[in-house]
Amino acid sequence: MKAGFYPKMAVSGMRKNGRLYVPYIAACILMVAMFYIMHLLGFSEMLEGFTGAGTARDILKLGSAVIAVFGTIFLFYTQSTLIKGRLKEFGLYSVLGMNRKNLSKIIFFETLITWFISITAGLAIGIGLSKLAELGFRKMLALESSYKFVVSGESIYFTLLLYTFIFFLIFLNAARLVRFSRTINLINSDKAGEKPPKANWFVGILGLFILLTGYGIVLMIKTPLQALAMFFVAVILIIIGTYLVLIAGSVLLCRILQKNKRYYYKTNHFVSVSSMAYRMKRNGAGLASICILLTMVLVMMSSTSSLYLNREDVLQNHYPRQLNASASNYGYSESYTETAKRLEKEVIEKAHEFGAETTNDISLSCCSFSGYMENGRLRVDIDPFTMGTSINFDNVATVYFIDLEDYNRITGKNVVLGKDEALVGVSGNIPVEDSICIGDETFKVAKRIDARADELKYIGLNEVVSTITLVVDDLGETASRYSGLKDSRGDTMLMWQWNFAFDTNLDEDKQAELGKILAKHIRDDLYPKEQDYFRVVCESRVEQRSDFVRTFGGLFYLGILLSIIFLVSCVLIIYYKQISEGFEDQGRFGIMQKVGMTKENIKKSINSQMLTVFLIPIIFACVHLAAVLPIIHKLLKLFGHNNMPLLLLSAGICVLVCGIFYAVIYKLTSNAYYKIVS
Amino acid sequence: MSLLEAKNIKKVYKTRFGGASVEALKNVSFTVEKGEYVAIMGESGSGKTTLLNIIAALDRATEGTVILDGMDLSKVKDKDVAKFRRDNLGYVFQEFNLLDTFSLEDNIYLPLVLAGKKHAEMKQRLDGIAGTLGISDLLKKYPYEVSGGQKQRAAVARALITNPRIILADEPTGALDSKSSDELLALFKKVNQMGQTILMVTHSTKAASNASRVLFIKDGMIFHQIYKGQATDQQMYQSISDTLTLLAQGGDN
Ligand SMILES: Nc1ncnc2c1ncn2[C@@H]1O[C@H](COP(=O)(O)OP(=O)(O)O)[C@@H](O)[C@H]1O
Ligand SMILES: [Mg+2]
Repeated sequence: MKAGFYPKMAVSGMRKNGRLYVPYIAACILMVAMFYIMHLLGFSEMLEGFTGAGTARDILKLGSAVIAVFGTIFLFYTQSTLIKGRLKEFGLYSVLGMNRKNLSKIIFFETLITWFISITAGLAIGIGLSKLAELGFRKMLALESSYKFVVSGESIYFTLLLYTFIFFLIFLNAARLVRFSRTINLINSDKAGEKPPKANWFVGILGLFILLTGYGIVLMIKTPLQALAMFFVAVILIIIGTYLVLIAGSVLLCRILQKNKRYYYKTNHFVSVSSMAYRMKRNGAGLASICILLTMVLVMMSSTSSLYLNREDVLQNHYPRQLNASASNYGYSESYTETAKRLEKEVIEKAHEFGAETTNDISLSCCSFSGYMENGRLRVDIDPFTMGTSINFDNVATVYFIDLEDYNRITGKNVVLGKDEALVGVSGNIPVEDSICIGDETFKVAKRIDARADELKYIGLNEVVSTITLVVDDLGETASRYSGLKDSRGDTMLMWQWNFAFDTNLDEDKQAELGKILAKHIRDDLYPKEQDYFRVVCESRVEQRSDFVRTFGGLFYLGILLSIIFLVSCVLIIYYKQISEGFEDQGRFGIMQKVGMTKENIKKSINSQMLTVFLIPIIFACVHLAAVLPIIHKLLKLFGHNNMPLLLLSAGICVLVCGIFYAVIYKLTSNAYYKIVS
Repeated sequence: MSLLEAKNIKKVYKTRFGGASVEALKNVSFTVEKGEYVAIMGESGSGKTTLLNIIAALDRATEGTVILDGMDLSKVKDKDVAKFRRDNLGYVFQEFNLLDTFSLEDNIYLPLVLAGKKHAEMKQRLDGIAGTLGISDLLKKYPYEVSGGQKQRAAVARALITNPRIILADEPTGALDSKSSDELLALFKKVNQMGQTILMVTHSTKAASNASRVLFIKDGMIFHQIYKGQATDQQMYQSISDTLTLLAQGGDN
């Protein structure tokens, strides 16, 4: 055959199927551009030279990995839908005398053309938009903007390498699809009667069961550490459950409706129920994918935006005053308290020397250790972290002891406690009755307190596992009862900790400077070298603030970019769904009209089908979001974020924005459907 | 009064850009009496489908009137057309036009469901005709699971179930093998003997020889008609063939 024959065939094939190819190539271009930008931001020298650059760039590196993996799966999936839609055409070619090898050649050139357009346009757009992306990133992270324009050869090289590889896989897959279908099937591929799916009770119920198990896990989790351990299990169960429920469960539902003769044989229900039953099996997977993508967008956006918006709160909790010093050591001895007093005095003196007036100071010490809750008792004889897989992190708890004197001073109260009596505050998964057992000791609960109330929170209760806070009459005496406890490595379990924080009359630059001076002073002059494990630090809130912005801003930025990718993928799936259904329904509605269905009936039936199919994924996504919000709330606690109202607000806004976007997309793509049908 | 009366029907198809127009029907007039079995014959492109579509109110005539049981079709409003067709006509198509999303049973019920009938009544009506049509055992199957002849019988059931005033059939044997064609024609005969009026369009001499009267259409006009009377199918076949030969030679009546 003449040279240039196959490329010509490829071009004309793609032209004829423009309705399918244009969105596909657009998606390819977008993926390439996004990957280039992510890679550039994450790996080049562009974002260098600010504190927290490492964290922010790590987040973006992660993002480019996600895009690479997701992009591969998605383009793979899209391209197979596309090829399946064209099997008939290939069948015709093969009837006209082309063999499989010739067909593969056409496909090869098609893929080559797609590859070429995607790479050149994608890189051009990526390079063009990279400055914008960088500026957005810098703005979000409160960095100074730079006016340098960077084109990274390395990023171009990697993008080229990755997408050449992806397109090679795509070509192999398409060639396989064509090679393994027989000519007769190729010709008849869309006429071949497809049996309407049987209702599969087993799979449907299994799906529902898996989904509910996923929800159940989410609802049972009480502490962030357990949330971290179980999050992926829950997510995977929910994803599998969604697929099974939408594929089998929806067919099942339609079948049940069909069994109900009085419901089914109604003008409004008859056509829509049966055609939904018919296509659910194939489209169930599409709907489930849309639903999962929407859920991911909702979860990512609500959590990262809420983290970003709440960063100042988290900062204030970690660093209650402008300057914050702390010291800690294993075990407990009277000398620790003396060291703390000395440190406090020296720090204040140094601050005065610097010219600062100190105000608002808090000084608080506590002793803590962790154990495992069992039968209402905190066991300290087993080490929770060596229990292996049998551990339920919800039962791990940390206990904090505070001296009554400190408590009274901080809260301005005047409580009196007897021996073995305690004020008790708990969080997480801890039941409290009249008394509470910690190891071999029992404390009578004199009164319940809120250990996370303003005055007390500065002891820095951890957010990771359950906590028990006990205010006791004599901290030294109580601590000495536990100071002999050793964990499985033979280390002392009891930890003494002292926090000291104060405000000054200095401006922000000076605060940062003072912070550095104090940190150096502590390190060089005050460090109690005679005591092995003694750790002392001093940090200014101002300096920490930029670190927080960088981490949370980086996450939020990543969330936005990934959401764009996911939403675009969603759009493409919906679009192909509408187009293919349009072609299927074209003939059907013609027949119905001939049999006596009015145009109005048809419109009504189309609309009701469309609406159902439109609502299913977004409703499911919202239910998923609502179900996983508790676990997200607990995971966010690991970042120190504990602001449920803000999380709910962000989630609400995300649902609204996403819902509007989705509705617009659906409206636009259903126009494509109507156009084909009528 | 005749059951169906077509008077001076003319149909002109205009191409979209105002170019050449096609005169599919020039001037067609005929009547069908109650209980008659009429076949319309003609070559491909002679306007048979066009005529049937006009009678079925699937299309509107450019000129002329169609009166079914005293009702003038041109007076039926656009939005009532579907209902009119559902209530008065049964249509059997060459390519069956069964919906692949429905079982045969549900396909047959479709017009009744659209008419808002109760399930019990639909079932009763179907039981009444399924035996005659020999599809009782096939009702739960889906179109792709049955043969062409079986599909066409289901389509006939769908046309009959509304108790239409007239059955319109457009080349009902066109997509069938000869055995299935014979079965279907026998069925039409049986249904006709039970009192059902049938108007069938065909270009098959064999199919037409079953009818009690055959109209010939050529160049958009009714050209000739033959009554079967007491003749056998064989004799009828012969006289149809003769007429067709005459037509092909361009002779006039
Ligand atoms: N929708 C249409 N638009 C334009 N011309 C048409 C249309 N339908 C039919 N025709 C023309 O009208 C003539 C009669 O067609 P038709 O009734 O289908 O013939 P038959 O069914 O006898 O084969 C043909 O010449 C055909 O090309
Ligand atoms: Mg025809």
